[in-house]
Amino acid sequence: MSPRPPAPPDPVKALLQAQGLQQPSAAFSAALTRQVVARYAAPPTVPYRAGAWLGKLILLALGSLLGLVLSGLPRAEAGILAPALAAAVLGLGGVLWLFEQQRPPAAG
Amino acid sequence: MDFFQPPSADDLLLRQAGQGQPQALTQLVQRYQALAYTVAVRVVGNAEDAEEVVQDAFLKAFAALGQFRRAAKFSTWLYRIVYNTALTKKRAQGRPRELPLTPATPEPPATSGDGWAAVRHADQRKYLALALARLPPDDALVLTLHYLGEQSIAEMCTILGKKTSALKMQLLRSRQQLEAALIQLLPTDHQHLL
Repeated sequence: MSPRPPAPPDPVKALLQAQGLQQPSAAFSAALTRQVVARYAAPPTVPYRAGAWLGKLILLALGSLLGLVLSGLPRAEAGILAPALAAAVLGLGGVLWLFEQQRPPAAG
Repeated sequence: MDFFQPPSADDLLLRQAGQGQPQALTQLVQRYQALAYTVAVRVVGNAEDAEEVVQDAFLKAFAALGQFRRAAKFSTWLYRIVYNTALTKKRAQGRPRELPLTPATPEPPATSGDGWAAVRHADQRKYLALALARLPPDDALVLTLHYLGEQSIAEMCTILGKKTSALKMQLLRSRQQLEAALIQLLPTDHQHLL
């Protein structure tokens, strides 16, 4: 199957692009940048401390339970279960990392 | 929210801007000011008011950066603010649109091949500006956003607050009007331009 031939260039688009965008004056551009930077004040980040402590508590409880389960199992079975638990922990960590990456900017 | 796509350059800049990093704020301003200014000029019709519009809109947009929920691209959101600010300014002007940015009278069109080459390279911008000035401002704006700003139909619908079908029709009509205006300006040589 032969590839589809490229579409012919659009003359109107080429003509408009040759004209280019209108540029504001350099002085205006510099003044605008200064104003935006000067007036933009990032809001102080107020950490949600209760949530953070609750999260740590839950993680501690889950970790303790996992440790309890592993310690209660015979050595052979614990050896099989440990990699699965490690994978679950790493997976959860990965999801949390993705959430952190996708979080909208903290601005007000 | 798509977890499988890496954050775009805009996303990274927005995150850094959200933390108040001056470099990120500067880059965002530099990246979008030209099309914003062009949009403002198309609506209000003169450089002075356009600069005022861009300034107001950018300060407004950056002050409300925290309310930007990524339902659209940052540029789309910003251009919509610019467009609305320009419309408000135009209504407040209460007078017909001025066009001091375009040449007052066209030079006589060249007819020979060599003359045309000169027109093509030196006067192309001027004739195009004149042709665009003959279009209704809305139509010139649609052409600018789509062909120059490379905004998609969906993005333009968001910016201009129009429906897809209406916008497609307007884009088609604007193209035809631009071609007609160029034919009128350059009766013999327009085919070299288009």
